[in-house]
Amino acid sequence: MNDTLLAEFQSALLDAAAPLPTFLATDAQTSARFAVHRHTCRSGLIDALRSAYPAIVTAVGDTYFDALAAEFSLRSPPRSPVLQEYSPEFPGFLDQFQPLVDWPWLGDVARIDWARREAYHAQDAAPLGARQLQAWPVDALMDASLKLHPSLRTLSSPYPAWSLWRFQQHSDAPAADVWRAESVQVWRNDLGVHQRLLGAGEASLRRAIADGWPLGDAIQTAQTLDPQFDPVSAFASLLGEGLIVALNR
Amino acid sequence: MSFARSLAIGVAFKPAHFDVVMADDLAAVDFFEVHAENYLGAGGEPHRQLQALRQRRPITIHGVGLSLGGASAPDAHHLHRLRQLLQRHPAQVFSEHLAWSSHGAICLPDLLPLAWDDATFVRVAAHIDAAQTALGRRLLIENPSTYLALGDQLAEADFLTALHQKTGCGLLLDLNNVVVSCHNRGADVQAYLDRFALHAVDQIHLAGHSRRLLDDGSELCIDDHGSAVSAQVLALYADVLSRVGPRPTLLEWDNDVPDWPVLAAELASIRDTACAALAIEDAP
Repeated sequence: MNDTLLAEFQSALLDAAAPLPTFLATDAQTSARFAVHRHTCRSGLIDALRSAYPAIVTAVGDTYFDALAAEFSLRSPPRSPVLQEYSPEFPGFLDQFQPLVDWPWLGDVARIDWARREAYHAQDAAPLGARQLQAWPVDALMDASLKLHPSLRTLSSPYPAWSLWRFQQHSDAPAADVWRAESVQVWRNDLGVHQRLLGAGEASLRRAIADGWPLGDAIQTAQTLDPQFDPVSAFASLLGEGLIVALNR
Repeated sequence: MSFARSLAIGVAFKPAHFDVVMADDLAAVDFFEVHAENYLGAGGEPHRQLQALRQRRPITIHGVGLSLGGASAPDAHHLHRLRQLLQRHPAQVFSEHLAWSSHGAICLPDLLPLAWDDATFVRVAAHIDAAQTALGRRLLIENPSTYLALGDQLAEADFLTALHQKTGCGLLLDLNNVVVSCHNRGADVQAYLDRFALHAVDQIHLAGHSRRLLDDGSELCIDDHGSAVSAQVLALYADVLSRVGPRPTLLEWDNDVPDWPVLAAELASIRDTACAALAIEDAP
């Protein structure tokens, strides 16, 4: 089988509507045999997306999700042999997919699912405890740059993506009390992957720290952005949630 | 005694069984096998579990993504990740398939068929060489389960034997795949095994398959790993062991996975079959 034949075989596997590869016989037997591979490929990709995006499965229902996943896998088949990495591109597909134009928040809900997948596999790192910070005078702390836990993902959405995501997980949670922009953090500790709503200032603080800003500057920006931002409790959360893994002068 | 010549009975590890496995005395289990591609993340739970498993039993690692039968050389980035995995979690065996799954930039979650001809042989042998060099170890290559015939010039068993001779790779004999492929291609199972380089077999895989009735009344065997090992496969297993002696043997049950005690009982039954075939006392 040369390049052309392999390419033909591959595209016929992804697309259920495609004819059999021309180098195969056209009888019903061969078709049934090829269908075994087609089923393995297509259901493998759909199952991979189902396991990565459980909130979207709940939001749109099994049947519609499978159709969405089949359409997506046709447009964006995996580029990696590691199926658990399939696919960070799905939320962007949901943003752009014309039939979902009335569900513009769906992509950001999917981004929370994907952040959970990434946090689950992220590198291990031991968080600093309060005791390790005791030696730091406040001035020095404000000048320090912090290294945050590799699993931390901070997402901000113009939609109540966190409330909508949570509603998919626990249907007794309110769908979205107030239609507002929301930020969320996803992270992992010894007990597993967690997610919680963030204030706008808290989200800004995490982004500024991740960008390498000294803590004092990151706090100042968060305060300017969010009048309700409380630096002391925000720092206590970072520490308490095990998100600080290193401090650099 | 080397692992490759021992009667080690192992099972494909399922994360859902982790807690019960860690609480078990593992009397039925001599090793665990995992799929490499499920452990290529940077950290977290999967690696913690694998580390804990390794403290209880040796592991073997089975790759499903190298696409050794593909048109181009195995992906350098993927090989690099596999090498790191094998350094992090030392394994008794690293095995891969005689199949392709990637072409161009696209990777599919299936083990796809090859034509057994000279051009394929030259290509696959070069890819095995490249993988063995990059990983710094000998690979075991598994015979595939096939559904389609693609104009073969060579017998599959001869193809695998020649790969062993050319590249020095070991062979992983999947007896369920032998039964599935021979049925689907109208070939004789005994003739297949007679041609197979049994001396080069360093691991055996056992699994269940199902049968699907086609519209024309014929039956297709599907390698679905969704049930107990069939009586036919177990009989072949006894036959092979009586010819070659003890070999590490793995049970693969990947779909409709039963509770741990059912798997443990299946392992015990495989061990009984092996001990009877080898005429040895059942003492793991």
